[in-house]
Amino acid sequence: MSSRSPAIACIGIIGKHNNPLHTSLFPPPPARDPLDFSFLLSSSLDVFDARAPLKTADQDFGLLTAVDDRLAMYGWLTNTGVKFVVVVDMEGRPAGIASSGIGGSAAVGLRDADLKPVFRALQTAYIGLLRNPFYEPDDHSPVSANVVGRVGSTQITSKKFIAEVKRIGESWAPGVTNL
Amino acid sequence: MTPLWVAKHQHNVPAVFVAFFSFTSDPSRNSLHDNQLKSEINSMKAALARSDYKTRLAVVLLSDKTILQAPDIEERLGLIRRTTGLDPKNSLFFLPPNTSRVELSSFVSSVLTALHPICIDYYRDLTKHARRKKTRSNIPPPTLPPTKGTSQTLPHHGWVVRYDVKLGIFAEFRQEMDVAGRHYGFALDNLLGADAGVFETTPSWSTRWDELRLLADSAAIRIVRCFLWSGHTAPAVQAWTSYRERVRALLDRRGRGANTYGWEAWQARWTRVMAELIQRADLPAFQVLSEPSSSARSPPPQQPKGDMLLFVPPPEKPLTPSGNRIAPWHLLHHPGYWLRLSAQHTIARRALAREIPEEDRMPPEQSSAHAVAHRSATYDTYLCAPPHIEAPLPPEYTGDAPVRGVDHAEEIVAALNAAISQFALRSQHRFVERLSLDLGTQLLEAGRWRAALDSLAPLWQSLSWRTEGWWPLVARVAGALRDAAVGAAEPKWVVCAEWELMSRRLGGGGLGDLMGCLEGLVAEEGEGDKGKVGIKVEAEKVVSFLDVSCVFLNPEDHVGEPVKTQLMLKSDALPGSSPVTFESVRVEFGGSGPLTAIELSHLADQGSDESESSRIENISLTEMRPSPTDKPTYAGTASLTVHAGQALVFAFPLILREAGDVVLRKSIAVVNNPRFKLTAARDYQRPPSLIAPWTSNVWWLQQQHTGKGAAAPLRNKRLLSRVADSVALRVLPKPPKVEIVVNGLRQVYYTAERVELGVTIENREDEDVEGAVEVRVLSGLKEGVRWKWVSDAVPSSSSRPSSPSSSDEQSSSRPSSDLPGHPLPCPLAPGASTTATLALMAPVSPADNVVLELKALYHLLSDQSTPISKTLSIGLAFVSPFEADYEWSPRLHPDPWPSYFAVTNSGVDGTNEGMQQQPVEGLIHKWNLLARIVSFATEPLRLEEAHVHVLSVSGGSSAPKVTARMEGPGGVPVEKQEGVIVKPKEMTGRGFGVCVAKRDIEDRRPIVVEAEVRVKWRRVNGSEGTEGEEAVGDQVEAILPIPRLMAAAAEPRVIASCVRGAAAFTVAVHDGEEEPDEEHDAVAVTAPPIFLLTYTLENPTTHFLTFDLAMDAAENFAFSGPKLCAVHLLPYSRQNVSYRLLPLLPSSSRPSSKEGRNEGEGETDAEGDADKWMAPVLRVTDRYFNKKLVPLPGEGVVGDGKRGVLVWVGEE
Repeated sequence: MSSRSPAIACIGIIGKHNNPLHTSLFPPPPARDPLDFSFLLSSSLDVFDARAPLKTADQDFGLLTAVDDRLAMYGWLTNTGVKFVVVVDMEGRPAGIASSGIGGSAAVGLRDADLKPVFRALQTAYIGLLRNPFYEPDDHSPVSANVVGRVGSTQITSKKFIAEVKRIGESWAPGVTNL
Repeated sequence: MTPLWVAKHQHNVPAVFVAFFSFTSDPSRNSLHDNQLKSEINSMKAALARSDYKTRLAVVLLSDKTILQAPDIEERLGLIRRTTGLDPKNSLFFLPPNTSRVELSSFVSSVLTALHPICIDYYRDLTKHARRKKTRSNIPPPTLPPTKGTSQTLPHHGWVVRYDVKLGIFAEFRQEMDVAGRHYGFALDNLLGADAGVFETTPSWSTRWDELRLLADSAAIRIVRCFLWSGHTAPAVQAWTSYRERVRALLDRRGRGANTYGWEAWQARWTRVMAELIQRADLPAFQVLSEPSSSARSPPPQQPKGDMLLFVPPPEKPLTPSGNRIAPWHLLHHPGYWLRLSAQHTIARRALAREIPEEDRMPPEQSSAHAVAHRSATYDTYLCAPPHIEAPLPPEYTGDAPVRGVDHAEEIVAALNAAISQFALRSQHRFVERLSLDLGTQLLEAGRWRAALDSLAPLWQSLSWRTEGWWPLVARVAGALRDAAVGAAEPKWVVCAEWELMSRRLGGGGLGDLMGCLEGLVAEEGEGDKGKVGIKVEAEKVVSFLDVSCVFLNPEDHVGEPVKTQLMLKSDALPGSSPVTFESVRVEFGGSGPLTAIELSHLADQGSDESESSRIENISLTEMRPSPTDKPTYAGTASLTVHAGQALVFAFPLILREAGDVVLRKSIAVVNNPRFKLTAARDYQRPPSLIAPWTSNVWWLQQQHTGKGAAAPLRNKRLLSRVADSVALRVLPKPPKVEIVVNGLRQVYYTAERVELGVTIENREDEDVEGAVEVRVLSGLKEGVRWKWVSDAVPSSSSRPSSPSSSDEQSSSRPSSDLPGHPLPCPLAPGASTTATLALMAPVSPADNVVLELKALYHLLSDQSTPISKTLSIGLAFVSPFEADYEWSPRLHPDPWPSYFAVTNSGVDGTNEGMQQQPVEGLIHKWNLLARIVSFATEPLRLEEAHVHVLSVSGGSSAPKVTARMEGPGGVPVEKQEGVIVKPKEMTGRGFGVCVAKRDIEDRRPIVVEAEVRVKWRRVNGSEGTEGEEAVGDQVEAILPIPRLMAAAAEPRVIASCVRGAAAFTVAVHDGEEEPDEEHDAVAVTAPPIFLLTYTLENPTTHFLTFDLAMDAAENFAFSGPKLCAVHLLPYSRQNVSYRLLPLLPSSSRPSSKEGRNEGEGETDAEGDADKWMAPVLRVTDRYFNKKLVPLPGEGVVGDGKRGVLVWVGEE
């Protein structure tokens, strides 16, 4: 089999009430099934729930869990309770030059620190979104949003933000320190 | 090599054989017993020796007495040991009786410790033997001919593999796991080696191939187990993964490829084996604590492992050269993940099995030999069924009895269930839900509807995805539930799932037809109401497309008034779904308010229910009251068919009869269908959630028609004001409808004024009323404010002409004395009004926060027991209209002073007693009090009179005589005062001559006068600024206080008074009239005015005084008169010294302003008129007392403090 290297498969932004705010898939559907990744993102909340009481100041949850030998989820919790989840596909893209694995698959491995730039960039993007005066975080929380005319609009719709998430997701690779 | 060998060492041939004998102490039978024991042990030893295995014997004696109790035991033991040759250190053990558990366990562990070296030695011997055999250069032929079931001829590789495995197993027995793992690794390498592996030389069709795989698998399992044993979790996973990859590569290269169901079956097995291994390893990281909460409370500081871990955390120190980079999956995860993978592989296996072509699925006895051969080359049947069992053909194809094939679903379900239990142990609820959904869908796929429904229905009821808004996932579950329910013919769940799938939020997946969702489903229990299912869905638990709300336009309304209400049904159903007809919609209320429920029922045949656009419908409700004491229910009918996206708004007024708070409690919408009856409830008391957000609190309005024909769209506005969060409507008691109006209220009232206010009471009730008006005046004043009703109420013109003649009523009215206050005419007809005048006496001192409270207390004639009150509060401000400041200066009294030398009659007589009794009256001093009265009113007032009213005089033993009267210029008394209009902020001056005289001339004390100015004024009709204002209203007397006036009577003084030349010399009139500034223009004609300045020196003392006078020259005037002179004053005399002053007008030479003379003179414009003042300085010095007298200002001059006086030379 051809050796491949890790790449981001999915970036999920999950709101304070554990409600999905945004999901980006890499490569986009139909190459990846949105439903599958929705299941994954939702299941990552279990780990947030379990670990949040033990966490102190750090926002980085590191590796949440691997799902199988390809997909692994990494998490980040902002101070406002918004969660970023990055699903890494260990065989997401063809390997570059020299990643000769002994067992073949997923030989490179990852450190939690490898994902930090991604989360930093995501947080910057999210802060940029919040600084937009037309973005009302409460509108994206279905608890407070009035039901009239707001159904289904709890997803983030900012084109700039989505494009930024897409850029982050596509440009990351292990070892990239600045996004 | 067969499993027999392993079984031999694992189970059959031990390293140590431990025999337990009971050891009784009975003195009579001791020797017999001991002999039996000895022979038994010896026979065992003999048997072991015969077996050729070096199994050691160990004996444990279970005694019933301790050595202390039976001292001979020691001796007996020694005898036994000697006879049997057992070493007491490691072969013979003695256990005293009645040992506790702790002692027992320590005894056991000591026995084990003693036996351990023996075992190690035993296996070390075996290892040596095996190593020797492995390193043997030539392989001996098997001792038996190579038949099946015995050892076989081996090539060199195989030989090495055999002994590597044996060495590994022995190492395991020695508990040297790393050594064992290494041996297994060598064995595996030799088996799988790409160039010289055993597999390379074995054909894949032979049975040896499968045996080899079995051997390789078991070696791999043992490798993984070795890693797990020693806690190297990541290498364990890596070994697992790499072995899988190597097998895959091997199969691709030599076997039947990795695209067969056999491969997936093997993978499923391999992952399950891993899961079992992890479970058996019982790693501390995966210990599931019974109480996760308690462990979470006390997190260990160093490692957060108090929590249940999903995977083994990476080691702190880097293991590999590439830093700490470990593939996430290589961190060992808990068995649930592996079991899930196993299920997935089984699913893949089933998919591949279904793709097997039909000819391969025929039983082999019905297939051609060629086909069978083809199959064996194509399908990998290692540890799994051949194709015809894997995916058997239905019986109709084969014609035989049905073949019981492989039940993939069973395996999948078993794996998933095992995984679910693992995830559930670790509180991964969402993952459990996901696996449960997978389980349900697998059951669906297998057609096991009932089982699927049983697993999906509880899942659907408690979805965390629903509470967290993962709608597509909810839709997936609901869809699966619907499918399962349809399959299982469970109408209840079909309807439930359809109801939820109708919601636009879920994005589809249902039929989109709630009313007809049961069509095609066989009703099992027969038709009619018996077969009807009742379903209840709650909006808090199931996503609902229907939003029912009831809003009141005003948060507060009064009893008896129509409350504008809207009941709204809004559908958020999937676009394109068919309409839903509700049988009834009921909104229930709670709280103290007079409303229990509003219920609308469906009425089919109404005109416009076909339109799909939103609409507002005005309907009327009927009030229903089960009993008079119950709170009412309102009911109505309307068309309750709701289309997708439609909002049905029903507007109606409610007339409520009692006061209280109305709280929205819940809504119930009922769909009744021949097949089912669905009740959708919404509890408004629950906090909003993602499933059921805030109910829409909007008021709907009809927009104006814009297009032709098209129904006008609705718009809504959000109602924001609420009495309280939970209160939808507050019903207030009936408001008083009697109005109190105060007429003629002015902005400002003045002190001491009499204020008259017209108070009009108007009856706006629908019935006759009777009552009274109470007045309260709240002021901070001590004396309070007096008030009274001026006239009795006279009914004014009725606003309702058709009412019965009010004069008749007036005559028939009786004073309603039972009510306090000013009675209203009784009865006061509806629409009638009455006016009374209230007079207030304004306080004398200013007060700015006086509140006048008028309270109408009344009742309806029809309901005398309910008092109603209406209160009107008015703030009044009383200010003083005038303020004044004063100038107090001496004047010359025209009366001559009594002569010191004159002899009165009484004094001559000497006999007249009245001489002693009536002393000579004192000198009369005249003073001028100039009052500058400033209006502080906001409007022009007419000032009519001003008088000085002397309050008290003090000083002297006898009361001095003081008179005060108003005087005009020049001291001319003013007999009749004329009124002047004083505008706001305007000043008017009033001069008063005050004559002060002592009763006794000998009394020398100063006189202190306390007085006040009393100003009489009226209000003026007409607006400010217009001429011809006319004084109206009562004359009001305002009192302006005066500071104490001091009149010194006994000191000598100099009073300057000045007369303008014009008045004194008629000759100079024409010239004197000219403006000084125009002197240059008419030099020849005009002459400057002459001022006659007279200084009057008074000596009221009994001394003879001499004053030296010196007149200073000045730049701006010339004078004639004595420059220096001496004046002699007799006691009680006065004398005038006169000067004529000619001002030197300053048009050319401005006088130097080195002396700010005019400062302190507020009356003049100091800057502009500084040169229009003359400042004659006359120095008056008492020659004997050497005391300087400062001239006091008298008539025509102005005082200048210590310097003297100033004379105004400007225009008069």
